Amino acid sequence: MKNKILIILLIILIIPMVQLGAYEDNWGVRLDLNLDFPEVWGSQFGISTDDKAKFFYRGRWSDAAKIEIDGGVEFNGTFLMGVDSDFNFSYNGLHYRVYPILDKINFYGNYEKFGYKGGRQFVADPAGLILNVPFDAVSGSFDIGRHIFRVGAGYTGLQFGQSTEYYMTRTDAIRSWDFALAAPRLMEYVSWEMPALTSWMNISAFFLALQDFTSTEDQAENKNKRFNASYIELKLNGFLGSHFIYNLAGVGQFGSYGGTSVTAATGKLGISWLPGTKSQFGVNVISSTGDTWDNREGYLLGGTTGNKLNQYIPVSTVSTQGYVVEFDLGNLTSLSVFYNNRPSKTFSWELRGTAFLRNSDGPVSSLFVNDKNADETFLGAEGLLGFYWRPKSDFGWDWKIGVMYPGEPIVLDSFVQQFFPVLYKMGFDFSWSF
Amino acid sequence: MKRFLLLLILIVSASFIWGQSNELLDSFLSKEKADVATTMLLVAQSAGLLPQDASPQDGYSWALSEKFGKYVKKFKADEPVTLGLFYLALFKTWNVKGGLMYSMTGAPRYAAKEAGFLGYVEPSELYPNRAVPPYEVLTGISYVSEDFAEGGNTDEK
Repeated sequence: MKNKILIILLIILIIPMVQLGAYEDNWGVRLDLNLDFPEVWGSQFGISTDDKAKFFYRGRWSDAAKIEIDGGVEFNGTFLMGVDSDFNFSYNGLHYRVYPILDKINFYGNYEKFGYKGGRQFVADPAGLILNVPFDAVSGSFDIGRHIFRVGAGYTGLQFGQSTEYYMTRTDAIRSWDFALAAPRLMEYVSWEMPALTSWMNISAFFLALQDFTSTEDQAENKNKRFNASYIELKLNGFLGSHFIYNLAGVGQFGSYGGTSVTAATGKLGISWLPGTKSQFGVNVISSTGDTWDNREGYLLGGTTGNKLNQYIPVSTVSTQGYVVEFDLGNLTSLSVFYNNRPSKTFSWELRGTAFLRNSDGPVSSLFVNDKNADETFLGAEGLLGFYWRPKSDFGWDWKIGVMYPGEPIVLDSFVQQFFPVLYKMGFDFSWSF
Repeated sequence: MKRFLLLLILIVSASFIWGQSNELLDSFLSKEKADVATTMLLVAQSAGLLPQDASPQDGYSWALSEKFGKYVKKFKADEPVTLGLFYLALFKTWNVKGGLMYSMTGAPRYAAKEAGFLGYVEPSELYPNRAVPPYEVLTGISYVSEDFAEGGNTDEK
């Protein structure tokens, strides 16, 4: 068996070496700077910033032998301020963390219709409902006619916990704050894609299985158990006539948290009307199953649970909804209507209205929803206006302002609430690549 | 068969656009990698800066005298042209404005990135030091001469 594996590895290495040619490469740097105001933190508020300096490198000897590296450093910080009951203003310091990012470092290539990749690489599901994360893996792809197949398997526990976004259990949350490696898991996936199945439909299917290897010590310390799960996804999208586009996807989640079975689902439907080439009007609905407070202590898996869980939880933070208050998938229905317009090649704007509801009287990802006596399903409604300007190919900024009318389940500190009968947030993003 | 048809279309369209001789284009397209001299000749002729009967050596001499000549000087006339040098010459000749770094440095690698941004080069082929095949030179000139025929881009474009 060992000899067979060795032979396969040698063949994979020899194929690209035979075809080595002139070396071609490309590199670049990208700076992303961000400011958001105000962020409400308990009884305080602040200005938050999330800044990244990332580099990439691509090298190619031939189509069969290529390398790619993506890395950098990220800074998250919040300048915290407060106002006491006598309306005295205080500055409470900058709370920040800085951490390295290493999203990709792999060797890849393709030989005729067979593609291969080994090393740190990204995996994402086609519909953006399950995961979009790096992991250390071996993967392959091959085309048979119009069918495209991809398979991969790898390990998550060698990455920096802070820069990855695995977010399922309390261990994930703790490792995303400590300077530690991500929780250890094995993941395997298979996907099938068939573009242009018909003139109006592309179809893809995706299956992912993950096995949790969190140590017994970590389980005890973080008060959580191992979560083994599988996800199956089907996505359809395409044009309806020449003016409408649609996007329909559903995911089933099946797993086990300790001895407790988990059966959950999420789905989304988006329909857009394109009256011309410069504007778009659309409706998006996304919904995922949830648990009640009786069955679950919080959004993340941990602590005591009921006998059966039904709350959907993605592997990483994907398709996050909302701007003023952000909601991750799980016990959430989000219904949004939007219009965007692009009056010139360098400028566009968007107006969006979104209503948020929870599907069960239980936890959602936002820590503002913590009152177990508040049984309303309506979480709030948000209006968002965004302006996006890209005057140059390598430079751009955007400005967003959002207002949210909060529902009963959103609970703020009673003193802070005086200043925020309606929540609002304003943000700037700046990017420059070279 | 597909390759033959592509070559035929390129020769016919190129000779129609620039009035370039079929012999020169035949010879150019038969190469595996585009040479610097012929590429510079075609770039100059696409903007009407050199006459139809000019030779590849005239193209090379013209390129050396341009502002981007310092980058051309690093190559011999018969050496393969790189993606970055080709698009630098093409964009400068057609007065195509680019990103901040392209404007500030005028370097080949930023011209190549600009070509990627404009959709002329596939992301998977975006290596500024890649030797460009002849058909890619002709298609690149076609894209730019169609998109920027009014004399360079503006922020509104």
